[in-house]
Amino acid sequence: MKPIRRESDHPVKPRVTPEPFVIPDHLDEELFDKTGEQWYFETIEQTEYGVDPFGEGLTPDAYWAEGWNLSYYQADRSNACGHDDALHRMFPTRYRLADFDLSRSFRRVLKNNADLECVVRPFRPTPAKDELDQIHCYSRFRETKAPLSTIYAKLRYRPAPIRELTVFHPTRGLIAFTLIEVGENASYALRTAWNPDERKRSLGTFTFLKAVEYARSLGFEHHYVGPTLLADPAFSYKLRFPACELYDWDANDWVASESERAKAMFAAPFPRRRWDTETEDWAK
Amino acid sequence: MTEKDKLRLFDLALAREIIRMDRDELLQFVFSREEQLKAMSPRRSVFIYSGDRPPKRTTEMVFDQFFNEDPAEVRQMLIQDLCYPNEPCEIDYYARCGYLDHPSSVYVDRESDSGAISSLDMLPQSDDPDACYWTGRFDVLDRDHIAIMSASLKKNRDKLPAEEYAAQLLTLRSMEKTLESNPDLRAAYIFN
Repeated sequence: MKPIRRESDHPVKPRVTPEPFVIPDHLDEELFDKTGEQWYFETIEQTEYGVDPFGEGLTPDAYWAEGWNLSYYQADRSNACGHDDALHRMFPTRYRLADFDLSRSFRRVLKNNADLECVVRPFRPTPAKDELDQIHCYSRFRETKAPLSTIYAKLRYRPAPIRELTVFHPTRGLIAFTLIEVGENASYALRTAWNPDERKRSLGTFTFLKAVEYARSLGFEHHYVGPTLLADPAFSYKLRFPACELYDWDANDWVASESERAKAMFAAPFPRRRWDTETEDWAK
Repeated sequence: MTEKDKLRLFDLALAREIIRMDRDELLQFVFSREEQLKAMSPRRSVFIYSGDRPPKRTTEMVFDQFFNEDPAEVRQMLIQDLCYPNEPCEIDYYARCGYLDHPSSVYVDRESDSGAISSLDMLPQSDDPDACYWTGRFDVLDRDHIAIMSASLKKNRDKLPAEEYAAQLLTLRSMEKTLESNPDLRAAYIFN
């Protein structure tokens, strides 16, 4: 008789599981145009509560494959994001690992960073990671985020184990890290940070390539990286990598990012409707 | 922090010996340690104890069964049973961060045996993807790593209750001394 195996990343299983329910798609973005009329965009903003991370048969991969982002007892997905005072389309993004061939420029990034040491291990928040995360967030997004140690309680109860891919410089110490959620046949990059002073090293690209390398070493089919927003370079860089696929919200399927369909997806305006205040109904 | 990573003395020389041995040598080794293994509580010695083991089954039969199934797993189980000379102790947040934030937590120099070694690199890989759960994942550390933990703890002294600080520092220092006096021993940083 073998002893019970333990899952080191899930030491305590929550017992109470609320019934799942889904908030339906709704119209929640509003815009006043030059005439003062009020328009509403049709966007998808969905949240599924009560996702039991330890539920029978639940695989994070199945959620990721439908564009969901899983967190503690909750799954979210959205096709819209505000940027520069405008509403933009947003597409969950993933890569087909079997077709992920490195271009010469990506190989150069790996070569240029050959002096760095990388390790993949169970995620632990530390002061150095927190500091790097804050510096990175501010330099890239001009905002601060909750420290990793603060959100750790939530992170550690995500449905899949979280690994940290940590990058050290021999003398300057920790210079980059990325958090990777490990599913059954796919991985999901949760958060990445790197030292902006090391800009010449292209550490964002480097950590991305190392995360892909790790996912491939596990024999995974896909690597997910959250949504892509074409208008924001902080998100659109994801399209630079090969074998990229975007989630087609209309077809509920994935399409190659270089396809005509993908271009049409980015270009398509949101359907919008106007609320007629006189008739108290949608304008026809 | 809620994670309770642990630190434990680890007999690296014995572990390497177990990994190196062939089947016959390993069986002889098991016989030589049979009393020690049997004396362990069933929960600890997963190798010798088998819940459905009929009274007539010998250690050799159990060994054969396990070894035929997965030799790597037998080695992992023996390492788990025999290579930890002491009980695990919890590592304080600041002590562990000293190690995890230090570049030497990655360096692996197999030639000179210096630097941290991941159990994933050291232990024989089993065909069973879950086999690592026998031992859990750990890093093998040397004395310098423990010194880094002590230094980090001291640096953050004001953030800890005095008693907690003193107890943790004492644990780390005694481990440092043990490692210094016994070159075969290392410390296992166990990711809980």
